Amino acid sequence: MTAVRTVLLRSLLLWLLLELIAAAQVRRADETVLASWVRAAVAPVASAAEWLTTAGGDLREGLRDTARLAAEVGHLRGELDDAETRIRLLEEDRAALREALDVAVAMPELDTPSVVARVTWRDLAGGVMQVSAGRLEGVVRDTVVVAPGGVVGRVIRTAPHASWVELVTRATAAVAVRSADGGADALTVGAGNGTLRVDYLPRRSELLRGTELLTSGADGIYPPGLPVAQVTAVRESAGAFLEVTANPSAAIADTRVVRLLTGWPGRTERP
Amino acid sequence: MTVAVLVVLTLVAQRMLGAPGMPSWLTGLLLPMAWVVAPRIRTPLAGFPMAAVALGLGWDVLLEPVIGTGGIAWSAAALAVGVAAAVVADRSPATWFGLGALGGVVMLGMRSLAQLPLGLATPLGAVVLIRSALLTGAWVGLVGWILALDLPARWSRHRARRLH
Repeated sequence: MTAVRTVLLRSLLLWLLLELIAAAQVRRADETVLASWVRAAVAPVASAAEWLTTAGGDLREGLRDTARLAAEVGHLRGELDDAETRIRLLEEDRAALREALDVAVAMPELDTPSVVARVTWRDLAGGVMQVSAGRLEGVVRDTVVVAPGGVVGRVIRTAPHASWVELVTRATAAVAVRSADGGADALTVGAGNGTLRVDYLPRRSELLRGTELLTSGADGIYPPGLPVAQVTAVRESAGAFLEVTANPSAAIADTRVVRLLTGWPGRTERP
Repeated sequence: MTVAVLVVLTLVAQRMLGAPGMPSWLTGLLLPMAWVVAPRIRTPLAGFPMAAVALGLGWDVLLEPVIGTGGIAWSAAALAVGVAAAVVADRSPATWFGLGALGGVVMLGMRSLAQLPLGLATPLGAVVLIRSALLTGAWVGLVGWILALDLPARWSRHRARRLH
């Protein structure tokens, strides 16, 4: 241990001596040897201080740059979110326009003035839907509402630019229908769970599963010949009529655009 | 005396490595490191390395703007090599390589530190340090490998076989 200490001490002393010799060699013309030694002693401290100052400045600038970059990243992220939202809205609009086109060309046999409107709200359980066309667009109560698949329902209330539609699946809604071959007349009534019940169908009727039911026009509201439902089940019952259930032809749950038959002459105007 | 002449020749060779026209990276090869590593491998803790101080002063005379800093740097390298050699039992060329690389790094670092108060120090980059460590280690490792071959003994055995 003593030997190590001796070596270390000797090393330090010798190095100090060599450093002083070297410092004396680099002294300036107007400088004494002592002054050169003082300068050599001060120089590392000054260098360290200068380094620390520079490092501090760099660190400060780096932190400022980091903060600025973080703010810029936040700003860009916000812009990205905005752009993504706009893209989603545009995609929604595009899908809606495509649907509107489908609705507009659906049922070309219905040569009657009509209005295309967007579905703004719906309550499938309650059997009600709100659309973006109202009185000012020519919509009145009992205006028939259709979608590409078939009948959606009828208008039960209007506002200047909105209407509430009673869906055919609502428990209080009824539509006079006839089988596609014209062999059976009946009345579809909403079952309240998104399906329809077909009432007043005589037991002698030859109705099969999958049969399409069209409006008969007997109710004075819906024009005849519009698809309303497809039969899903037919059962015998103890009563005078068959027990028939059906699904609505129109994709009520998915549709975003509907067509309101404002020019259908058979409607009853009851403000 | 022979050793002193060889050391001087090594320093002269080192100076020639920095001659115009030679690749600039060759200055990272510290030829005299072999004279530091070889004695420390035999007697790792042989006291203060005065021979290394003398070597460093010779280095200063031939290669540095001031005399003194080389003595510090080379003696520090010798001390570091001695401590490392005392820790490592292996004496293969790989150890020579490692000790040479260590000595190169310590020498350059201490020289830079010693020149700092004089305003002569230049920034020491990692690339320079690594390159110098590799070159010096390779050189010292080569010396160790040649010594391990023990050429005089082999020559003696060869002569003895031929005489029989």
